[in-house]
Amino acid sequence: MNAIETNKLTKVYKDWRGKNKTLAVNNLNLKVKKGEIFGFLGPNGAGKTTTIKMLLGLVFPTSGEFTVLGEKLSVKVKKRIGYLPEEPSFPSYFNAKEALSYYADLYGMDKSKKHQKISELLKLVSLDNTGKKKVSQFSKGMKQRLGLAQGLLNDPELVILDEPTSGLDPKGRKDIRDLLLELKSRGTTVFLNSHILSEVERTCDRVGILKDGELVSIGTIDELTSENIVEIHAEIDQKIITAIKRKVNSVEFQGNKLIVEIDNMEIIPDLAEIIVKGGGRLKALIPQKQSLEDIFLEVVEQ
Amino acid sequence: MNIWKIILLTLKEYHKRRYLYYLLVLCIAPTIALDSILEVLHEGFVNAVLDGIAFGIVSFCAFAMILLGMQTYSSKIDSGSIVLDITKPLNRKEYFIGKVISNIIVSFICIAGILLSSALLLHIHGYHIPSEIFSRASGIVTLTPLFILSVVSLINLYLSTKATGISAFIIYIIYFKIQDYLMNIQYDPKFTVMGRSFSGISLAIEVITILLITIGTLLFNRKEL
Repeated sequence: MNAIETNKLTKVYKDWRGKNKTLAVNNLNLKVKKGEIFGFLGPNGAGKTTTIKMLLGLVFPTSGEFTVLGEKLSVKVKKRIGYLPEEPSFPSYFNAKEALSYYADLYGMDKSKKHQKISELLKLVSLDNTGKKKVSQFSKGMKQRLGLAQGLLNDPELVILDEPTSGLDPKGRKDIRDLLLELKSRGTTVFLNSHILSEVERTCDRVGILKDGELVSIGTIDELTSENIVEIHAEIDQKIITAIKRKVNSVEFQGNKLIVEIDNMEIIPDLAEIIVKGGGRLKALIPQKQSLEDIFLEVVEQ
Repeated sequence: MNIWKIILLTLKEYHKRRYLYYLLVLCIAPTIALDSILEVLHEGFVNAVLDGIAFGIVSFCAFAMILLGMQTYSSKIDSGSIVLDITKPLNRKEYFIGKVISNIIVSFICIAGILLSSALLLHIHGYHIPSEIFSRASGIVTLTPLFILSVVSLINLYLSTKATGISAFIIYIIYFKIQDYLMNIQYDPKFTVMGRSFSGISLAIEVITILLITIGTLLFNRKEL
């Protein structure tokens, strides 16, 4: 069973006259497997937050459908979801404990479990020493931590995190990374929207890249960042270069080395053979792995 | 049932924000004013003064409802905190109605407090008010704040907190003028504002109030946040 499944999900925003249409999400077909950490990437305005809002029932799809945890969104399903918005906002007159108690009541948690869970979560997000300090006096990072805590109150099966590390210091970011991995080990599905690609690369099992409301790329990190660039250090003539060109997707000269783009790693021995048999002198053949950032930029700039 | 949960949490929020204390103080103020006026007045002026006091009570309650109503949705929508509420396991309709009922409960407490203390004071000072007139007066005094509350609940969904307050106040003034005109108030010494007929117009206002709350519930159910 998929934790999230969308079928031709589309959202068009209109103004109050029904004009000035903006296509935010276009025929999105997405499957997020249960138990995985899925990274949802895309440039600003790509439709990531709109997608998340549709999944949570905050905005309504123009067309298409979706299921969350195998069912259509309902009060029953919401009990099994945790959500951290991009900039969580809390009633300013609460302190951390009161805010969590308020949300625990909305979840309908019983008193004894509620107090135990709140203490546990405050400790987890390092807010256990804030005492009676009001949320209005919290820094952005503290609000983010509190937002994360409220999203985990119900021991959710699916956690939707919209920029969870925004406003956090390096230690806070590491804590969140560790937490995500811990959630995964417990079998929780994490749907992560983040701009920090290095973090996504380190934590996510699969990644989807959204551009102009359309899913343009999806796969595991390994699939997306597969080694398809080879750096060739060799003394070769024009005849060998022509032969290499026939085997690869593209060839680029960088100083005294040749950068070639290949479909798969299996043709690397063929390249070596072309050079050696053509009378060239092969010094090195170095496969290069692209970073997620390279892939992301490549996809969004296309 | 989720509605009760919402009501309880909203009243807790009001308690936390000390709204209930402020309202209590404001409720006591007109009673003290009435007591002082009754001390110095002779009977001839009492009806006119009661008329003014009743107007004051209605206006105060309506104003309190505007202030409470402003906090119900628009301030939560403005700050974005409503998003965390709505993503919790509750139904939007229940959320909307729960908030409206919380405000109605608070308004009833205020109105009942003011009416009962006023009646008690009048009794102590030797003025007798027939129970029929008292019950009619309660109806009139209750109706206006509830109508205003339903208006605020509706416009709350689309305007910012400040704009909601200003618009609701303007609507209240227009409402009061229309009500005055339609009800054709007679300054009969025996039947002051407290004795206004609880007529078809009042009934119409009741229906409009219920209608506005229903429309608000339906609109909130489809509102994109």
